[in-house]
Amino acid sequence: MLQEPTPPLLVFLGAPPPPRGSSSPPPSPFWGAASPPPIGSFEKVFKTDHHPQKGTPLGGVIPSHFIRVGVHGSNGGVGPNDPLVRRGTSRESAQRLAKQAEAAEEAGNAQNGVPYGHGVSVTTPGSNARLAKDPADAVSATRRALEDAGFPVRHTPTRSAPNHHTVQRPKPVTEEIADLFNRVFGRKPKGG
Amino acid sequence: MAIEDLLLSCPPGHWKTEQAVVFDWNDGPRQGIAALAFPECEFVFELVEERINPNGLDDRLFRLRELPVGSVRSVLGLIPQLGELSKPVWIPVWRFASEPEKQATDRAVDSVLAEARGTGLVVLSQDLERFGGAWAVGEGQWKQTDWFGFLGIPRSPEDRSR
Repeated sequence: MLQEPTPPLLVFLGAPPPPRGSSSPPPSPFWGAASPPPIGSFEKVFKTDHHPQKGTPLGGVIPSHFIRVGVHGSNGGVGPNDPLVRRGTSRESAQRLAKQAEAAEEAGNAQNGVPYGHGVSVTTPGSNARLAKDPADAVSATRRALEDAGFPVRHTPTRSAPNHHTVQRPKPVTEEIADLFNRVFGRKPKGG
Repeated sequence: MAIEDLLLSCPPGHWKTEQAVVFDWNDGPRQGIAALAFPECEFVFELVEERINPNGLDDRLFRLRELPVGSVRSVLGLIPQLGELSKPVWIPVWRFASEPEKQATDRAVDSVLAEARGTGLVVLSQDLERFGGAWAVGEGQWKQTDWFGFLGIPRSPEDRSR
């Protein structure tokens, strides 16, 4: 017979953590926070090797402020035609992507002059299968597709995840950028 | 004083992270070590479960193992070649000049982590900088399929409307 689990000893449960930068707990929980203010420009982040984006594998129009940076695989990691996996099959909002990119940028250091970057996490299919609770709850795109769309990929291995990569994002992450990012991974755009 | 007594003696909102070193990052910390300035203690954190937050960092529950004070400093002393420290949370890019150097560092870090003592503590955080809850989970309660439900952690308003 199944037994009802004994509730754990509840010690402290307040509101979830406040948003970054807040000095006191807000009356509303963190998920009600407004979008963060712009903290820079794409050009400031990627100030070398600028090339206007000339095409897109998606058949859409790339905004003029998107730029292509670097050479496929030039900083290590997977090859241009290798898939990279991103958790979740649903469209991700600009606000969510911006906060994730900001967290990575703040916590990632500069190694040999290459910053961790303002970006979000992707990994290889093998690592996703090993690390994810539900490996099927994911989407994928090749490194080439991401970089051709204006999202440079950096190999950012961690101790436990040697295949971790970071997909760089412009600042601020607008809804337009979020839509393009979601489209590269085959997710439906906002309202789509 | 044991870490259970230290952490459960003050609200998580008052905890202050001195330094977290992240060994596994996926849009937020998943596993690593941390030293708190208040209350003063050190621990290994390991992801138990995460819940998607549609407009921000995901909510994450971590199980803690207590480390002797000074462990985080010891680990940092093993990896100066990985670059400048980010405070209070650092994701070292685990890249070394050679494979033997990497293996030697991994062994040295493992020896520090081997000193960790298991606890029944589970904490809620998105980023290891701010903490939203702490629970002491008893023996026999670890095989949960829905930790957020088990601990009674409410969903965000956006989640409820989805």
